[in-house]
Amino acid sequence: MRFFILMLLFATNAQSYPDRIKDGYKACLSCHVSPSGGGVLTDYGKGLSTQMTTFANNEEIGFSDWGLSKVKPEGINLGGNIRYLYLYQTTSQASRETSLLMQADLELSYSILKSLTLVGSMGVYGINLDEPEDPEIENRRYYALYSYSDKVKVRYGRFFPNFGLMIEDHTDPIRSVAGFKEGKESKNTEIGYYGKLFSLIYSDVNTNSIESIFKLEVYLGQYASSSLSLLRGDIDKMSMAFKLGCKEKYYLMTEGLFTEDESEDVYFLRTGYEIRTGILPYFKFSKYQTSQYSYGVQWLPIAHLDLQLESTWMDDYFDYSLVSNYYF
Amino acid sequence: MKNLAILIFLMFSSRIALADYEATGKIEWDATGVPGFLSIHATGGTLGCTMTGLKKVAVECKAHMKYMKTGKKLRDEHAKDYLTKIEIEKDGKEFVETYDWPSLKIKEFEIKDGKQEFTGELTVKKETKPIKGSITLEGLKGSGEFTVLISNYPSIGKPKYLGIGVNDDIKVRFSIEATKK
Repeated sequence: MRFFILMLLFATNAQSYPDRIKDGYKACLSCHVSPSGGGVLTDYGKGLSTQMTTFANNEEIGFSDWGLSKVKPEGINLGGNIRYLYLYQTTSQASRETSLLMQADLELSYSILKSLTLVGSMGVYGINLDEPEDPEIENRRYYALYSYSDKVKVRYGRFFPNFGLMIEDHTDPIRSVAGFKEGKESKNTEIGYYGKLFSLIYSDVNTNSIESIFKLEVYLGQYASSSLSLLRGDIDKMSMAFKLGCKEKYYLMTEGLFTEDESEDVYFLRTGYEIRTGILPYFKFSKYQTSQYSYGVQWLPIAHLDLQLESTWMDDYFDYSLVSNYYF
Repeated sequence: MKNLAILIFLMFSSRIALADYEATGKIEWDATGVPGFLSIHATGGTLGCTMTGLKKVAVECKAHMKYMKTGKKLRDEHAKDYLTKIEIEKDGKEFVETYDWPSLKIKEFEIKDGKQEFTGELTVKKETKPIKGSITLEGLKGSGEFTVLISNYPSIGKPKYLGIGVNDDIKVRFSIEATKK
């Protein structure tokens, strides 16, 4: 049962890179259509993916950037992820291997007017390749995004509301304990101000356990930010997070999730260093009831391909995993 | 006649100082990409300067940006092009005019330790515009900063790449060190 739970936890969602604060990307808006990151990329985000790889060819349009081709209709962006996981898990009592197609989806954004963008995704998720079943097609994310200006945006639809660091790894307790489990996107109305010095986001969340979220993120210079998120719901929660980048090589992200019950508190830290363009060894620590340690390396060899080798241990549990993600 | 002799002596003295010192330095700048307010930090620019004056000094520098790095190779190339090239159309054909690296002239300021304001001129491609900034001296070393408005230099245009533009204000920082020839 524990294996099954851990396996499900590994079914992560659309890619985003909050650690890119090391390169000066404090907010998600440069690269993603979604103000909270993840999902379909902007033209710039697609272009950037040719620049952060080990074998970057320094061309305007890189490998597989057909999404940027001149035949692409104005105002339309098509993105997608094909993500595969190989996982080996072992405890003192048993071990097992798992092959999982975590995600194979498409996401389309269509700007009807300059200020109004519609976004929708469709795909299959969490298919166990060892025991395949008929996949169920899901529409996990869809929303309308109204941009009053570059700084003020209103969004309505189904998506994960902006809370905490918004790390891409939904396996981590810092996301799941806060209520943002895989496939549990909620219907929200979100209004946000995304300024040069700070961003301020209010989300009215329509779930049984969460009513609303308020997030304030303050940018501390060019390569650091600190955020406070308050979640009002069945159990009120507060997240305090900090991101720091240095010399386009080093990053550190840390977050604490606090509730009235101290035993439910969660702590998260991830730090890494880009030893060569596109090669980022990292160390991760999470604490929720028990401490969990991970180390791994993320490799972006060519545009749109993300490979991640990671090893995690806690108590008598140990695993290693390989995640390959093709995104565009 | 006596005054004229003093004036000639002072001018001569200044020329001696001009011949005696030169300065080299570093230059870097910060820009902000929008939307998303991404930080763009450029380093690796070097300054080659000449100095004139005795008690007061004027500095004239050329900013060599060939080895400038912004963290992304393609962005480096784009930034260099914006600083030195102009695309023109003539008789239905497109040409690229290439200009020298930007140059900075700082008008005479007093040689004294500490921070002081300066005025000067910055030339980018074919346009020269006045600038104001601050400089801090400590012995033969100095560091300063000033802000450039891109809109003051129409030949730069509006830098943009795949939907991401650059805020109008660019903060430039420099450091120089004078050495005796």
